[in-house]
Amino acid sequence: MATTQEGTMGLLDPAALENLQEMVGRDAEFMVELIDTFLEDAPRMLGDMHQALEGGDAELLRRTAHSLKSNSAEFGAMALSELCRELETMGKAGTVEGADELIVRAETEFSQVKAALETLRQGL
Amino acid sequence: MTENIGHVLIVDDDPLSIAPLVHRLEQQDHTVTVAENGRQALDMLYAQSFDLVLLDILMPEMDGYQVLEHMRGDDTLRDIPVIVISAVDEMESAVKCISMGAEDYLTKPFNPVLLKARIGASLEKKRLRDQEQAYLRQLQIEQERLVLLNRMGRDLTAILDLPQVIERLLEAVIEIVGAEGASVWLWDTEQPGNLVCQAAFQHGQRRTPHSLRLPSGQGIAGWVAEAGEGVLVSHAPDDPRFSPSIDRQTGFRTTSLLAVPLWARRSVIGVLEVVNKLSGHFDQHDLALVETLAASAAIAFHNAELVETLRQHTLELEARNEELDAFAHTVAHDLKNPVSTIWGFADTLEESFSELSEESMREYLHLMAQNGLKMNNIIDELLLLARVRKVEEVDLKPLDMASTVADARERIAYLAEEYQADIIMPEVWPMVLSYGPWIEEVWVNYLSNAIRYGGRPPRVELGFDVSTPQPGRGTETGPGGTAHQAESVSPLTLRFWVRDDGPGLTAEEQARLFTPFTRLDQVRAKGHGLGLSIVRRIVEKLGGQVGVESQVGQGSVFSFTLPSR
Repeated sequence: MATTQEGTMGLLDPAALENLQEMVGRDAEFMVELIDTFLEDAPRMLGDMHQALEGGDAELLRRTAHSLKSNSAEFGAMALSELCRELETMGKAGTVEGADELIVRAETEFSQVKAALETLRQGL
Repeated sequence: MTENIGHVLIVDDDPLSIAPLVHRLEQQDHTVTVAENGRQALDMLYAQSFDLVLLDILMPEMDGYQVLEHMRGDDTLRDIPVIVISAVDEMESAVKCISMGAEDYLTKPFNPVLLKARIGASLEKKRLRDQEQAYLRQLQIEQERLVLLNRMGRDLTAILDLPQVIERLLEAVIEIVGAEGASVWLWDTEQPGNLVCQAAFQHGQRRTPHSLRLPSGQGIAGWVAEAGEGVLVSHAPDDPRFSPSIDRQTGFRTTSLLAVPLWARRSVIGVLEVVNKLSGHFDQHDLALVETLAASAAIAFHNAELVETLRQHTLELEARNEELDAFAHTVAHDLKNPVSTIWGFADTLEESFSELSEESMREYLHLMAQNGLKMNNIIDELLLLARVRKVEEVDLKPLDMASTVADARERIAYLAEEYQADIIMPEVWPMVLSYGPWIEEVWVNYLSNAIRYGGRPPRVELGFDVSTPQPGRGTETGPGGTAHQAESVSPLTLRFWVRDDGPGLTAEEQARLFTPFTRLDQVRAKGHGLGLSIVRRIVEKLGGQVGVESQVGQGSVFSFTLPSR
């Protein structure tokens, strides 16, 4: 239990999580709904980033990264949010070059965030 | 802060990132609507009313900058506060938005404390701004109304014609209060206690009411007139005082109503009613305005009434002056002939006294005496006429017509003898309620005319009948004749008449007969004149009417009526 908590603490910023809990009025049900939506949306967004990369679509990359940036920040997944910010900047500059490495890192980061959020969800 | 609850429009294309925001605002009792892009947001802004917009910047279709620019360029949207939603790393965009007119900014992820403070502050500002604008609008309306009221007061009191005053008043009251219609009711002069609608305006159009009346105390106007105080009625058909009969007669549908009494010289002279306020309800303020207007109007009514009385007086005086002129002219004319005759003979007698035979002298003196008598008769007639004109009310007494006719016959006996007249009359006469000396005068006039201007020798017939004329018509016209009856006579009227067998009169001559003094010379050429105008005055004073039926070559029938008892 302690290790799981430790893992969560490391991946998800407790202050941000507290903020979110406060925002939704500590509505556990709604929190579960938010987490589920995020866990469903995020893989689709990562998929969109791959698509942007393959098609050289900088605008798509920017938009997708922008959304995932906000959404992950909401749950305190700061590392993931930071990776997305870099990807967004790239897209804003009109290029997808060098994005592949960042996307892979974001995917790796997400799989950890996902595990942490699932743990968090069970504790609610 | 409970009052700072509002309708919030959130414009963001990312549902997940705003889900906690929507959830929180709804928990705080705000009404939340979400638009997914700028275009949709503008459509919603035009279709609904919002107190606050939370605007994301980066969106497809139309971004936040464009929405802001559009809103600030539109009068109807300019005053809705906008809070920009930005990511922490987009501060420069937030600053740009604020320079474009956004109220404030919020960063994602949202902080509940900041969120509450900023939304609360924005809504409070919006509320104060709305209030201020409402006050300003109200002040502006008040000022306009006061200016209008002032002008109306001035205008109204400057008009001196009653229908014009009423029309102006109705226009003014409808404009100032903002109502569908208005009407003015004044006391009925014929049926005391009843109110008569003088004029009404409905939907900006003047309607002339066809004798719209409210019996004493009926209807809300009737109540106001009796109570002497104004009323506000929000839904008239529910009010027990409301009289639906007026709406039935006009086809108008009264809902709300405001009525105030019109006061002049400490008494209620009528009621001003305003119906169906165009927006909202009649309130105390409207009541005060209408009362002020009614006060000006009442003064105007009073003035108009004075002017009208003055005008009537002037007309009467003018008529009297004309009559006096004609009177003087007639007196001079009628007396001149006998005076000239007397003077002529007296002069001859004086100049040629020694040369004249006794026979001639006797004849001259006889002619002088005759003309003196004529003058005396004329002066008697004039004095009688003057008395008739002066008398306000006649003391009516039961009168035996037989003896009155007999007295009259006695007075013209010398004439009848002179002309060898054959006078035929009934043996029985009815009793009437009248004034003997005057009726006798009428008979004397008719009889002497009939003898003088009848056949040779004259055949004069007297008689009477009871007529029940049809309403609106005079006594029935004789065979082939023309009736000159001024107006219709009331049912069961006694008509007395004198028929002669003279040459008759043309319609034109008949028309002039009873006209007092005017163009008398022409009528006098045939001998009818001063006498007939006296007859007419007497008969009218006694409540009857004079008439003549005649046709050239067929004689004339002169008549007078007297109301039956």
